[in-house]
Amino acid sequence: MNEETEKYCFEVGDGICVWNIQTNEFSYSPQLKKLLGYNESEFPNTFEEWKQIVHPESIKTIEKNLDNYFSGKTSNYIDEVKFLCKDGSYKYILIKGKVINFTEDGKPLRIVGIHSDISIQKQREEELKNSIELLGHQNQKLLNFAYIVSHNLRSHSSNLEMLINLLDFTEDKDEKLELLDHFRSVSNQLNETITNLNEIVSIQNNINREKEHIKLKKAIEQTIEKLQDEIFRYNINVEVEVPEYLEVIFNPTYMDNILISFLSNSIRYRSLERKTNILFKSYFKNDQIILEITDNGKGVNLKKNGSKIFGMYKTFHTNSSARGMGLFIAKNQIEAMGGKIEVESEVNIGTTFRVYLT
Amino acid sequence: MNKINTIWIVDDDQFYVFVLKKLISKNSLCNEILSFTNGEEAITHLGEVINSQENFPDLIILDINMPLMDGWEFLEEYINIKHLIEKDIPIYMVSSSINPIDIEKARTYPQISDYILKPIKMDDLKRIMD
Repeated sequence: MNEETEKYCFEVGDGICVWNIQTNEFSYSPQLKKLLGYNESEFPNTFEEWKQIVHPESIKTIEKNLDNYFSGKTSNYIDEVKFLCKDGSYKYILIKGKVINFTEDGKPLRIVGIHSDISIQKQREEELKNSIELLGHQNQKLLNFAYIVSHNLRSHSSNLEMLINLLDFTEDKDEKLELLDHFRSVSNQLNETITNLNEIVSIQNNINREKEHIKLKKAIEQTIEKLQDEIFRYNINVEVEVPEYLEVIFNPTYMDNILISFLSNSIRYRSLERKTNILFKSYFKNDQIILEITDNGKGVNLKKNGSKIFGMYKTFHTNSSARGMGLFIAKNQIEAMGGKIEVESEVNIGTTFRVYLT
Repeated sequence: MNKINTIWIVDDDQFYVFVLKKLISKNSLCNEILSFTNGEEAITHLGEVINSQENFPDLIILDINMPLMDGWEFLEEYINIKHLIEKDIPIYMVSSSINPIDIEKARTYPQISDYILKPIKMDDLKRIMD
């Protein structure tokens, strides 16, 4: 390259640098300095100084790629380097370099590097990666949901099929009538499962379900009223430590279901060895309203069952009336309202559900 | 076909257990059927059987999703005490799950003879009891 061409190259297009490998001198086109926000005097003048404005992540790949080029493994030096700009931000620069002339004894003398700003592409790439990750995550969630739906439906449909199979072997009239009763029960279970699955789908589709101002204490008292029969029958003591005035902005249907799920869960898993106490308590933490429901019931080993506690499958206790879906639906409803739920539990001590009502 | 003596069914679905028991007894496939509603009940009973060294099951039909102790947890416990059991007990995993994670996991256990998708059919029953 003659001097005139070189000069021309220096003034147009992308940033260009020339590195004299033997003297370690660096020279740059004005565009390159401008690209990174530096002025003439600030820009480093040796390879070592140049490395100081390169992000540490990039240093290793630069050394590796230069090595590959000089040893003949690659025909060009190509690199994506993260540069520190004067304003403290970073830019991604694509560098394409090639040795343009050699010393008399054949050593590389000068290498020219063309620098293109690919920050925008890099940013898009990053956004794309995040989107793919998010979509992958959502796909996985949907797939899991599909497996759960399939499992829950199949367990009923296979019961129906087996009952029909059994009917073929049955001659006795009374026995046939007994089977009919079982058909009815399995059919009811199937219906209930479908209702629950529909509920979950509608929760997940209606992120912006209508919210209202709800007086929390009143809502809790209405829930207690609904379960009054069981509370009385098992002689359970329920206390509410929630201020009269406290209001939350929440979907009222969800609130009803959440409160009833937690209260009936505490009643269902009461300890048979002591009088049951259940406490509803609210407090503020970082401007968030938190509702705790604490019981002194059977408790759950969270190490063993922690991942399953809000799962859609069955339950943890050998209790025939237990249906696993209640807490799963409640959790979905809390999350659909922008809240979250935590649980603490110890076997034979009790359980605390902590609901962040936002 | 040799008639086998004792089958254990470990499953929390009462209708499935009811129908399976009927199907097995109507076809006189075995003499005695015991059922357990979760892995823990079955493991507890297995402990008692080990103590007396009598009445080991000839076959176990095991569900996956159960309360308290699921099928996988049962298998882990079973492997821990297997050396105390002198005979080889075939275990069949019978589940409603078509999740490949479950099916693949079942393959990793040499203790599991087969993975059968519910509903279990007469042909399956005759085959596994042969």
